[in-house]
Amino acid sequence: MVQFFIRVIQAISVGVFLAGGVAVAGEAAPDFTLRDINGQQVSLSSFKGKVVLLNFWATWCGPCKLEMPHLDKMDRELEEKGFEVISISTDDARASSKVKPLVKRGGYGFTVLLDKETTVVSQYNPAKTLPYNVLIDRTGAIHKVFQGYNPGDEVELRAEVESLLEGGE
Amino acid sequence: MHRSLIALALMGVGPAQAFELWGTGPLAGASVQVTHDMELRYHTSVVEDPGRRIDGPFEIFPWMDVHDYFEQVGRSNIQITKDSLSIGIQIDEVALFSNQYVLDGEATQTTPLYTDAIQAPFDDAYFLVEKLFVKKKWNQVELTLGDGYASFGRGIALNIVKNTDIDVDTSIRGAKGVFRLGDVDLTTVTGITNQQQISQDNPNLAISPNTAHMVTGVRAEWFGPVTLGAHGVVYKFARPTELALATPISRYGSDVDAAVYGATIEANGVLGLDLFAEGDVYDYSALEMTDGADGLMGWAAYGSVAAYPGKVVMLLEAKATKDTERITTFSTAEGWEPSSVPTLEYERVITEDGSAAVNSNDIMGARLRVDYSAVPGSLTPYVAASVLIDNDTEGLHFNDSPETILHPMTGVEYSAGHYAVQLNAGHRIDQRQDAAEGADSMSHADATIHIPLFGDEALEIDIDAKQFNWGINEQQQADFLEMANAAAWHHGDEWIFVFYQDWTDNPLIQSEGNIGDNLYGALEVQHKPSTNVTLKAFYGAYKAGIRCSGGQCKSLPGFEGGRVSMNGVF
Repeated sequence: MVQFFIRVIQAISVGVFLAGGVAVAGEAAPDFTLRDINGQQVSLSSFKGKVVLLNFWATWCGPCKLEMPHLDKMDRELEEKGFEVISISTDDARASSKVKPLVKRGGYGFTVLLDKETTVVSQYNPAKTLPYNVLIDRTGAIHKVFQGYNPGDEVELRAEVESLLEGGE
Repeated sequence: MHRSLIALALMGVGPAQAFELWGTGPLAGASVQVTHDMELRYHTSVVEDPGRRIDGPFEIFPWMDVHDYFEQVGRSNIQITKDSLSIGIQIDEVALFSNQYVLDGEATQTTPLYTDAIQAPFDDAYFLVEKLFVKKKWNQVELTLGDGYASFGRGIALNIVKNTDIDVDTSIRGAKGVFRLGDVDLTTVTGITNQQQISQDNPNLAISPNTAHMVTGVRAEWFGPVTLGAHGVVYKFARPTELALATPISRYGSDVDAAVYGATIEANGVLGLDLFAEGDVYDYSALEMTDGADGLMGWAAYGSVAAYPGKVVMLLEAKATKDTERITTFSTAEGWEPSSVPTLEYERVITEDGSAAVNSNDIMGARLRVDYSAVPGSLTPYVAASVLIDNDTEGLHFNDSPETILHPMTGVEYSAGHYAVQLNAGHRIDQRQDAAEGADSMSHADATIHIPLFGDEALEIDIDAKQFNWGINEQQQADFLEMANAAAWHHGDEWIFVFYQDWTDNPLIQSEGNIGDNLYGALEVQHKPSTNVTLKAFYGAYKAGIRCSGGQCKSLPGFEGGRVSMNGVF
């Protein structure tokens, strides 16, 4: 009986996993409101109609810091086409003072929000792997997610963003 | 006794299923998102014991020893979203395979999966609804019922958040409301703590019931020319002798064990400076926290100043605390902390000795970091220095007299095209005030270097080393060297071949190398067929050690064996 139960659990686990392999994105991106590094209130829903990249990162995450200049470049160059990077620091409250200096030293112009309570990252990325990017289309639906970063990965990310901006799927 | 661990792992992660709910009810048209993680490990025996394997399907693995067993863990998240309503559920499960053997004619478990205090229908399997929440957002109100997280100020009074870096995910199961009333935010939270019971990264042994502590807090913030905040949190902790979950609601009907009150002020752009300051008072009532006295007060102060003159970015942080760590009296054994003060430490090099300063009950100091943005976003050298006076000699401290800690550091971050360098190096001295006790010292360096070679080929080198020298202390440990290095060959965007090499002769670490007593080696192949899928095959070993994240440290076990994993978002 026990062996049977274990096999059932295993089968369910594998089944859910395999089912995930054939699914596509398209679910509604849950709305949230956070404060930015200047204390201003920002809601995801206020960006509806734009292509949005949610970028989850942390000050201690090396690959995150390597990726940020590329995201800033995309944000500046594609802003007029309706693209917006919303950078969400998942740093613990205890590290909050480090966030703005890191942004200032890089001269980044994108919106930076503080998810000190890990409420937003818990919804979008329960495993909390970093960096983690969620690309959202103009209708507010999740188009694609990107896990991790190695130098060069920004090329494919940009191509995906430009495709969305041009109305592609 | 030689200990070895061989693991096979399969893991999948992904907000996978995207479909809409049918029907005409209130959730009609809602989208559903499913995330699933799975891992399968194979443990070889650490027990030399007689007995024989139970006949069964695992007879097909004749190389398995009597006490070898498989462990499978899973975590499924389902989230339903419609407009401003979100409903989430997380189900965790663990199952052990081939975990029983026959001794003197009786079937016996090699590894008890859970303690007698847990009621479960199966000996070798356990599952539970780990997290459950309903969240509704209106224009000015956000309400969460069920599991949620909360943090006030800089986390000094309350900081219960997800910290999967060290496999900690304690939530507050209750109610949380955020009310945005013009320039004022009001946050209220109340509930019992819900500790993650099934470990996703480490072996599950003798799982205990959740110990439900009561937490209730309120915080008000006014966002004007400056931001002013005030908060208060009360705690009622469950005792180890209490049956968990028996009467968690009764925590509300009894005297609180501790209360923390505090205030914050934050001002951005004042004369070009960003300023933050927080002060908190701890009021302990529980005898376990007061050493038997009727009451005891603790306090904490933290402040930071950031300045941005030209290409320079300066951050000065300072803190002073007294008896703040008593708040962790009941949760430390459970592996998490309800709150703590910012550490001012470089967390990557915290050792057994350094963690004592992190958890000190009487410490003050400051840290200054100066970055020079030579080429914004591309080249940034920095220098940093911290000075701490640790007057605590109790607990985990290895010294009998207070010590002064000096820790200068320097480093650089550089990236251009596909070139990238991240370098940090420093030297730390813990000078005891009793000169006869000498000083602990540590030199450390870590670097990540990414070099494009030819075509789509690239090489990445990771180096992390620290040499620790003890002063004089009762335990008198040996000096030690620790390294965690890696060399990775990137073949295009899709393939990475990695060689890992760890070294440690730290006598406090409970693991053995697979190449030599102190030397660990491993090979890994990573394949990334698309941006959202990573496949990994690992064989070898890495060392045990302390890992710190967000001011909380945890000793994690080493690993030896093989592992195949898949990490995907679909």
